[in-house]
Amino acid sequence: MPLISTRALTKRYSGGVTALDGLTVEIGEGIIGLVGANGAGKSTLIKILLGLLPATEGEATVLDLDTATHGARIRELVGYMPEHDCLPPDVSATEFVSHMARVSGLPSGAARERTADILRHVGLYEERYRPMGGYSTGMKQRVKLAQALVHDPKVLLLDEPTNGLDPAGRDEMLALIERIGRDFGMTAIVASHLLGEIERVADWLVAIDAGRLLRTAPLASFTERTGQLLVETEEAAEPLAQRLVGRGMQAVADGRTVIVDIASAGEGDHGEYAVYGEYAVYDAVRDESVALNMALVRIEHRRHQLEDLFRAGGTDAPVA
Amino acid sequence: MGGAGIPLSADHRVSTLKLEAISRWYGNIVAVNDVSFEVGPGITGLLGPNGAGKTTLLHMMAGFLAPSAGAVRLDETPTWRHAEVYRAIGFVPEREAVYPFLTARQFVAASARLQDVDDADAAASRAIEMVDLGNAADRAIGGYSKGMRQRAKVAAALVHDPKVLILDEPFNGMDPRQRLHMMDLLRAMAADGRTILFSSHILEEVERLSDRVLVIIAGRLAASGDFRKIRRLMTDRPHRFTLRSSDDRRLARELLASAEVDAVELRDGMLTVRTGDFGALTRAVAPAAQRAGVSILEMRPADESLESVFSYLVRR
Amino acid sequence: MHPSPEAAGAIYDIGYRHYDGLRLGRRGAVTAVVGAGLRAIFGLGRSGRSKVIPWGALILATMPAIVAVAIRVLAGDLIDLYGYDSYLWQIGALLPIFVAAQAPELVVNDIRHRVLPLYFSRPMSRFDYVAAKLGALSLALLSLTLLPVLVLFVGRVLAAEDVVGAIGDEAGALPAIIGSGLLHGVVLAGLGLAICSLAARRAYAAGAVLAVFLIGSVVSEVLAEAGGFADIAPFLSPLAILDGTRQWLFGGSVAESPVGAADVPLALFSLATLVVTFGSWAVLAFRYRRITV
Repeated sequence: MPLISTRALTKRYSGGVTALDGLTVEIGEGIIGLVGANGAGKSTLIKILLGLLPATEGEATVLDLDTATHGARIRELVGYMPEHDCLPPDVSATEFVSHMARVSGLPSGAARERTADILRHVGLYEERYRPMGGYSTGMKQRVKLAQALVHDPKVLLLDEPTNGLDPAGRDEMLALIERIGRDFGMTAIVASHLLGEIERVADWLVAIDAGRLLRTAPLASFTERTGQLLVETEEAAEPLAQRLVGRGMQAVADGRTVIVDIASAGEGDHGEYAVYGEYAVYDAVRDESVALNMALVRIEHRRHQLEDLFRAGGTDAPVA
Repeated sequence: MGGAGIPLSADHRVSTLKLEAISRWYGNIVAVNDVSFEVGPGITGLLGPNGAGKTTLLHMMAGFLAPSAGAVRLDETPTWRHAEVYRAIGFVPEREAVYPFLTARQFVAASARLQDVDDADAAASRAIEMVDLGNAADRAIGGYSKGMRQRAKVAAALVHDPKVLILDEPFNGMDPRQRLHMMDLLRAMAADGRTILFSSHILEEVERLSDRVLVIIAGRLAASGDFRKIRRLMTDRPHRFTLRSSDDRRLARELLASAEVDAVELRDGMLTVRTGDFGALTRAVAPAAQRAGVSILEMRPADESLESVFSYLVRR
Repeated sequence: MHPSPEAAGAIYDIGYRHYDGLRLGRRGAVTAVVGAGLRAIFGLGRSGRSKVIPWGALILATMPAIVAVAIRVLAGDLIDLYGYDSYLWQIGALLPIFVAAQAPELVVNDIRHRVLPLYFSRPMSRFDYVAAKLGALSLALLSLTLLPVLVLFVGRVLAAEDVVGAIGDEAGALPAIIGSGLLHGVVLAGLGLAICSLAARRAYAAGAVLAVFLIGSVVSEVLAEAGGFADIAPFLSPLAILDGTRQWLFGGSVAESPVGAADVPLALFSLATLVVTFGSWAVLAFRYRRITV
């Protein structure tokens, strides 16, 4: 049973902007990456799912509740982390999060206790008693996440959770999101425009383009192997390519990289062989490298990248 | 892919932006501290944590801010207060710098006129086409999404055909398609021979786009160049490789016999090797596998990412 | 003594816990906002500095009642410092000060720092939010508009020789006391909150509130004295409008109030009050309707 589903969801604003155009998608459990939707589409979708905006056409349900009629109930069960700054500067994290917990309907005792626990889980310690005006971006993002979690929602909507964070902070936030999905047993929908992040945390992907569904599928299917092996060397790779071709293989060099076709990739399920094709290819690479005394840096399967989806025209693959 | 559609003017001299011992302070706060480097044609990424001084540095390079010490030169001419330098540089600031009531076309054309471009309207149209804002160009900027505003700003910075383009966090707020388009555009402009410098705190963008990087930490230049080469220079930090093979344990035994290998670890169905000598290990793996009769199915330098380089530099 | 099982060593699970307890829905949300509002207004849980104005105002508003009761006890019926009718007019200056100092806190920050999406993504509608804020400010104002007068009432009753008889005598004034107190509290809360919701910063909000009341009352006095405008004068001062309404509902004029000098039917003041009240609510509705998540 899908956690969230939409059917031909359309939203047109006065002024001619169509933010969503017949979006039909089903979202199940796990960590879902929502990608590609530009500002208008993404925030519109979020507002509709939260029951705060009526659709022009079509419908949406969250946790089996119709967004048009059961908005308030949905909002008891969903946690939302906005993209923008939203914290008052003269209040401490503890005070703010426990207030928000109460606004979500928790009795004050439970609100206090859950606040203390959640702040620990997101990694805020003594700082939590200081006014939030003095917090760093990383700490503020953690508080935003905490207020979305404190009332134990079934579904989390995270809008650009790594916004404004430096690489270390981004790393920590992504690890936190992974933990939430796996250990806390919550479904998290992560809207992000950074494909690398999505590739890292999401199990499932929903890609939206111009208000319509572009593709939805497990992440693994987007980053499938292409049936080619990529070999990277420290020096010019041309000699290696030539010797592989001499062995009857398809190999093309480009600077310090060689792309080799793995003839038998994807031939049914024979355990190791199915994953790695026949070892001949790998052994050829190994042996020719030894013969040439070549320095090998990398040997890996070439995979599609999420961004291929967004290259002009998108893919021709049918919507899953 | 060919050029970007606006080839460089007849004056094909390559442009180099030189920074010589640049510092900038505001009272006691030193935003930029004794930075020297050169930026030539191609794409250079300026990387650093928030508040490291990237924006200040870019403003000085574009000639919008005077250095407290040192000089910024574009091909021997200082950038501060030299009008001809302004003509050669296009700058896309991070903060909103557009009037919301103007349309993109008006904004870009105004920028063209400010720069004394001949036939400002035609130049504006070309610039707008380059950033793919054609169908929204006649709507007020106030109604644009963040990504569209960014593109309008880039068009305004391009309209006078600058040799040097400086962009501060250009991909902020862009969705994947817009970002890809912008990256392609910048690559094309670099292929035309222009000098492009952009700042970002998002490593994946910098890694994809730049030929070389400049890392700024707390106002100091921490590293420059190809990040892979930088990684090799981090000799006080062992390199890690992960391997998958037909027999990890056997391969591990064989590798441990080599002097280059400091440690091997068998975990999570793969073999992790630590070495102090990157180069030597890259030549040792294939022979070791051959001797042991093991097939190498996958090999990856585990921390040869810009992220790992960056986190190392931040902690120095 | 039993050996503790923990002696053998144990690791306790302090991982994430789910919540299966009570969820109070809208009611809980509104209560939380009203409660937080009251705490903010009276500076509870904050530095001493933030308590000065609200509690100071409260004390200053109640002092006259206490003094009057004390005098009654000492000097008996001879001296009657304050009447119920005139009390609110006498402490009138405190009301705008209180609102200007404390009302901005309630609404400005949430708007300025974009906190509202966090409220509206919870089981709390715009209406609930605004009503809760109004409720908090109204309740707080009652401590100035109702409490002191009740203190006066109770004091006079207790100070009388025949308490039971005194209750009978004074009880007739009770509806006026309560009605007038509620009237002032609710209307001033609405007006104050509406003004504050339009301001970009707390300081501007405070200034705007003071301006509306001060300018209103100054101009009103000037016009009353200038003659010829005595009829319009009271309509420029919120407090005068309220006084006129009080008079229309419960009778009892106040000497210093410009209402007396105006030769207009008292019902007009009630109309003016309705206009001010519904106008304020309309401003609030408009202000908050445009905010989205």
